[in-house]
Amino acid sequence: MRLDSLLVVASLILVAVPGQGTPMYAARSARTCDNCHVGPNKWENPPVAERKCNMSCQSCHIDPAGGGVRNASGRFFGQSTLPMIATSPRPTDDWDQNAPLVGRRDRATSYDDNLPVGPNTFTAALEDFDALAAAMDDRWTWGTPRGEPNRYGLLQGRYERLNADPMLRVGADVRFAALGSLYFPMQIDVPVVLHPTHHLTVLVNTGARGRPSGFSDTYDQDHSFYFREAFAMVHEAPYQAYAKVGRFVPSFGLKLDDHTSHIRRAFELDGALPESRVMGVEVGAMPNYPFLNASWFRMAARNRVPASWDISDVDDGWGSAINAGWRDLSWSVGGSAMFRRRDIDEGGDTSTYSLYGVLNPWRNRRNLPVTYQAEYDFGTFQRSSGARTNQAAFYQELNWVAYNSIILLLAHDWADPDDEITDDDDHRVQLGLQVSPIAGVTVDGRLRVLLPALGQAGKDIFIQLHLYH
Amino acid sequence: MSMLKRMRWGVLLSILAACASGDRTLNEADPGIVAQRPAYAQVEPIFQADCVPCHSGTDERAEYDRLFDEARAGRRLATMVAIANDDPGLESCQSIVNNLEDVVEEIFDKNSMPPGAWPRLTSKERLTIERWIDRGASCD
Repeated sequence: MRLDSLLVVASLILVAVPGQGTPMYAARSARTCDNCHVGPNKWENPPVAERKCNMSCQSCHIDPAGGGVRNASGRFFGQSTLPMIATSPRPTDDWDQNAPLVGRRDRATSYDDNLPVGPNTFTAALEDFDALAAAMDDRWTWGTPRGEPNRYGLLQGRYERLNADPMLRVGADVRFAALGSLYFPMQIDVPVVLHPTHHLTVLVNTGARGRPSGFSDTYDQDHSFYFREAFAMVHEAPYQAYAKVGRFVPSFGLKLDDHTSHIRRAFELDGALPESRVMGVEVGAMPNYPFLNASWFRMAARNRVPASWDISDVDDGWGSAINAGWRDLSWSVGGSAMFRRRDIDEGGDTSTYSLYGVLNPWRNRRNLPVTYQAEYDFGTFQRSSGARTNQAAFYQELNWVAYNSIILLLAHDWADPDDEITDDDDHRVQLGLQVSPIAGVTVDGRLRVLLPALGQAGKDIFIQLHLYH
Repeated sequence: MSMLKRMRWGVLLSILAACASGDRTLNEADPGIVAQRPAYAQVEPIFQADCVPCHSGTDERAEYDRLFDEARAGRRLATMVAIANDDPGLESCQSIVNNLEDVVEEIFDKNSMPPGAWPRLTSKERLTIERWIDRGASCD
């Protein structure tokens, strides 16, 4: 009887999730131009200072440091390239990757006059602005910012009928998970992006973190809902330079959305936790193809949950981070450094360094649809006794895109949380399958095996459902 | 060829990472990091965070029904599953003491909890619980 009740409730709460390392998307997006926008017949490369196509997070996300609500380019990629059933023109290279019978068949790169054609230049976009604006059909955005369009923002008409430069954008992101007998909501995000005038954007993302103990624990407890991001940003500048002020997670290493990975959790960069949020200033620039993000911030004590809505509740110490490298069309390399300074009883000092890279041989070999990424982090921290010691973590992931929207994944991460202590390290291996049947829906299933240095190995099956717009 | 060379870096880093390891226990390296006689108040947050999300059942029938109804009303599925499976509860000090043999086996002998591929307890958490048990597992 009890189990019947459980099954009924469980069936009502179909669970889920995504979990794709988004830098993998970025690496794969460079296969062809029409992954990210409608291709014109005669594209003229603008000067480097005006280029938006830089293989960096800002190419798809409104936050230049990556993650969260997507811009028109990211949304177009999500419609045209990711899903099994396309609702936008399909990239030419993926013409034979459609699901049979359903979905759009037109190609993003136009080969005849009947297909969508974006403007060739900024000047052309300006000349056709009214016509392009009238052709927009975008239910998740409203208006256009005050002032004349500028050459450093996204151009109308390059993303089919999506509004490339809206004044207001509202998104949604929901993740559910099933882990063995546990069913729980992992995360809910409602980002609102206000772009009242060119060069200025305010992003406020209200979110809730899930808890495996269930719905009531997730949404009834303090700190369940909070500002995950809240910042004002000056941007749309030469070389895609920007500066933002407010609450965010420092830019460091790969922007994985697997928040359980050692390379994020062990260094207070767990994107699911409010404890990872800091308040500060971040500046950066991303011409094609070098990139740089640098931040200075205040933060809460380690493991102290800062106030949900008061983003200034971060007076327990300060830190700084820098993340720089080169993101090319089929590979990228980067390095990061982060320093946190706090009293011992607030978490102590940490100095962390990172080396990482992504490789996408698929761009050059069509019969080799694999992508690989890896990151190695190391540094020092203080135990609660004040003693200084070293820690390290490593993550690597290999994807094989068997078909559009069907991705086989092999991931491995490892950590030694204290190099002086024996038997505290572990390895974790994941074998997964990710499927995106339609835009905005991804199902991610993984067999995860933990191999601790001490004791028994453990395994589980983790299934996620990710719904987003 | 150059691509293969690049991929070798990943493999090399994996091997280097796997080689690192210390040779002392936390008790030997930093004995002052945990109180010599931890109170239950220092142990409780560890059990609450890592154990209670699943181990919130009970052996008493009336209490079983009450807890299950509460969990169902709150749609706390993990708790409902735990109760249905009759897992030992670890919500109170007394319940931990009642199940101390299982706790020692799972945490120290097997190092198998939290289960599956969830990260195991940290060295500091294990040392805290170990000292609390060694000093009599007092609920005071």
